Amino acid sequence: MKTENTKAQMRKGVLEYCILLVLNSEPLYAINIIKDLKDAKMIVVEGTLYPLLTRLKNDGLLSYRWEESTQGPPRKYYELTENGKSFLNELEISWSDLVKAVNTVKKNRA
Amino acid sequence: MKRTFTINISGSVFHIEEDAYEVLQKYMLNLKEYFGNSEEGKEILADIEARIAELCTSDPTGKSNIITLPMVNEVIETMGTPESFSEEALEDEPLTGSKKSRKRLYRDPDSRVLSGVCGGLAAYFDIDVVIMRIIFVVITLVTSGVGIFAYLILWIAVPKAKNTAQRLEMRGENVSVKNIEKFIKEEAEDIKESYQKFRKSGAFSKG
Repeated sequence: MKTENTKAQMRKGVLEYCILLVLNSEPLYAINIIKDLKDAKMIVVEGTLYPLLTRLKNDGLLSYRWEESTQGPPRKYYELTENGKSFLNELEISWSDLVKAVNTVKKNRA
Repeated sequence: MKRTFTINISGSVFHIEEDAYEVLQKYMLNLKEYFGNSEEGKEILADIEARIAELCTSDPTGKSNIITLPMVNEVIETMGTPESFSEEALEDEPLTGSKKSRKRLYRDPDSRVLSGVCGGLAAYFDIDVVIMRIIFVVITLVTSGVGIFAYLILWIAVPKAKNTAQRLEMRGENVSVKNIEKFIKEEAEDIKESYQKFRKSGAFSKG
């Protein structure tokens, strides 16, 4: 069970990072985000994303606006706030630090 | 031939077949229980409901706006169950927080002589209903009538347990979909049993 927990914890942090990355270029509708994350095999079921989006929004990293849709009801488009952008920058740095650290450890032992 | 219902998912109207309706309703209740009643939980649920409405609209054949059981199963597979969310996103604690089952005093219509006051009190204090009745009779005898007065007040003041959720609350059990399901199954078996007894006794009196 312990190893499962470690894996899940790594995944959770990376998942939030990925959501912010996906939204970095343009405001997106939840389905577009889901498609990208599914392609990358980060999530399997869509329901995982909605709680995360809401939490990131409540933390002030994301905001959304309603946009009319040609088919069906209006859709929520999410985008990064200023806070979200600077947080993403921090994440980018710590991510590359982590990758570097892991690679260094691996190389020393190889 | 199947019966259909008309339902409203996130503001859009759908027709849904009976079996599909039952599965979808159970699924929505599960989600509701998982996300809880906080503002955040409600918002998440509304987002998911909107997505479900969309999934149900984008029927590839496009010829019908009737939701069938295979469609509902597909929706559930796409959206995932609460268990799979927590697996993927590692929810440390469910949003609902600790939902302690709270006991409430109701009148128990299932074990009543007059109004179910004793049955409800017995469920509340977790003792046998017969003992509760004896206690009441003794109190009445000892206090020369105050017991009856107290009984009447309770009769007026305590609400009757009308639905399954209230009956579970009366016994201090958690009101969850699973519990309600279990409870209804037990009730149905009770009814079956008493019907069979009734038939047997009927056969006896004829024979």
